[in-house]
Parts: sequence; C-alpha cells; structure tokens
Amino acid sequence: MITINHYLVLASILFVIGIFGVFLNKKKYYYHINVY
Amino acid sequence: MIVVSTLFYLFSFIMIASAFMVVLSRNPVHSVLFLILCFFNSAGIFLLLGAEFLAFILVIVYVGAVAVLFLFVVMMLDVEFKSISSTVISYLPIGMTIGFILLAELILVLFTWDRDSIKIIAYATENNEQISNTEMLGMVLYTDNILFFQLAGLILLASMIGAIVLTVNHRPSAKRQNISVQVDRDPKESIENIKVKPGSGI
Repeated sequence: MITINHYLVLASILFVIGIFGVFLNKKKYYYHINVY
Repeated sequence: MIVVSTLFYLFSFIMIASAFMVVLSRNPVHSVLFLILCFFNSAGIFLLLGAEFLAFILVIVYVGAVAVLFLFVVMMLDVEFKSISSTVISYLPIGMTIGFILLAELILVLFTWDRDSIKIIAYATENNEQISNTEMLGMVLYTDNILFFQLAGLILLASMIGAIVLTVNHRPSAKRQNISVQVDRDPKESIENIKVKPGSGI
C-alpha cells in the first residue's frame, strides 16, 4: 500500500537532490578558507 | 495493489537515480536528457495517482517544450565542460552537508506532522468516480476559479513584458521605421519644385 508518506519522502529526496546540485555546481566557492 | 507498489518503487528509483545524474553529470546535454527521464517517471507516478491530466501536461509541457528548450539553450551556449567539472570535487563536502541536514529536517517534519489536514485537499477529487479529472478541471477552471486563472495569466504577461523590457536593445545605428512620422508626411514639406536652368546643376 502506497501512502502519502511515500510521496512526501520521494518529494523531499528530490528536493534535497536539487539543493545538493545547486551547491555542487556552484562556480565560486565562498566557504573555503584558502580560496584567495 | 502489489502492481501499483512495484510500479511506484520502480518509477521513484529511476527518478531519484536520474535526478542524481542531472546534478552529477559533467556534460550539460546529458543532464538535460536525464531531466527528461526524470519527468517521464514523475508522469508515471502521476498516472499511478489517477491524475492523468497532470501526467500528460508534464509530458507535453515540460518534456515537449521546456526540456527541449533547455536542450537547445545548452547546445547553443556551448558551455566549457572542463572548467565546470574540475572544481566539482571541492564543492562536494558542503553540498553533501547541506543536503543531509535538509533531508534529516524534512524527514523529521514528515514523521511528526499530523497529515489529516491533507484529506481536506483530497476531498475535491474523492467522490467523483464517473468523471475524469481532466473534465473536472475543465468544469471548475473557467467557473469557480476564473479569477485565479486570469490572475495567473496576468502574472505571466507581466513577467513576459518584464523580460522584454530588461533585454531589449535599442542600437542607435539601426534604422527603424517610425510609422506615425511616415503617415503624417505632408507633400508640402517633402516635395519641392525646382526650376533648373539648362547647363547648370542644382
């Protein structure tokens, strides 16, 4: 039985992959200390 | 029921895998192709939910128009693959940290949230088994929700005008038509009779 939980977990995983992808494909890396 | 469960897990597994490939793939063209695969699988999940209208809209609008547009843009821009891929490894820790924090938060919220409020949303489509949901959407879109529908159109129009205003480029060197000046032309101003004596220029 597929409940609403399944869809919500799937949606949250996809959302997190999206956020992860944004950070992964950033051009400038502001958080690194030795950037300069 | 077991078929639905199997299909759900199949679609969601392919969807998550292709979503990972969208962000991990080094070639932007491959990313767009994986995005299209992801759209197809989410259309399958919409079909499992009985929302065939959303599934077809996803395939027609997102795959047929948006993703193909992305593909054209990516191919036209000719992005340098090496410059992007060489620095990806250094971004991995911060990306994974933020991803894990977000995932943990979302799952914590999901398992502590009272989901009975969802039933209010689901009520609209629950007790109409004899009408397809495409027909149902058509019946309410231009009647009960006409204001929201028109407001959505107005917002899209505003964004279109904004995009045109921001990107329009008036070059002074370009020769343009001015229709009102052309229509307002007067023969008295634009035609002149000159008597030219023989043997001399104007």
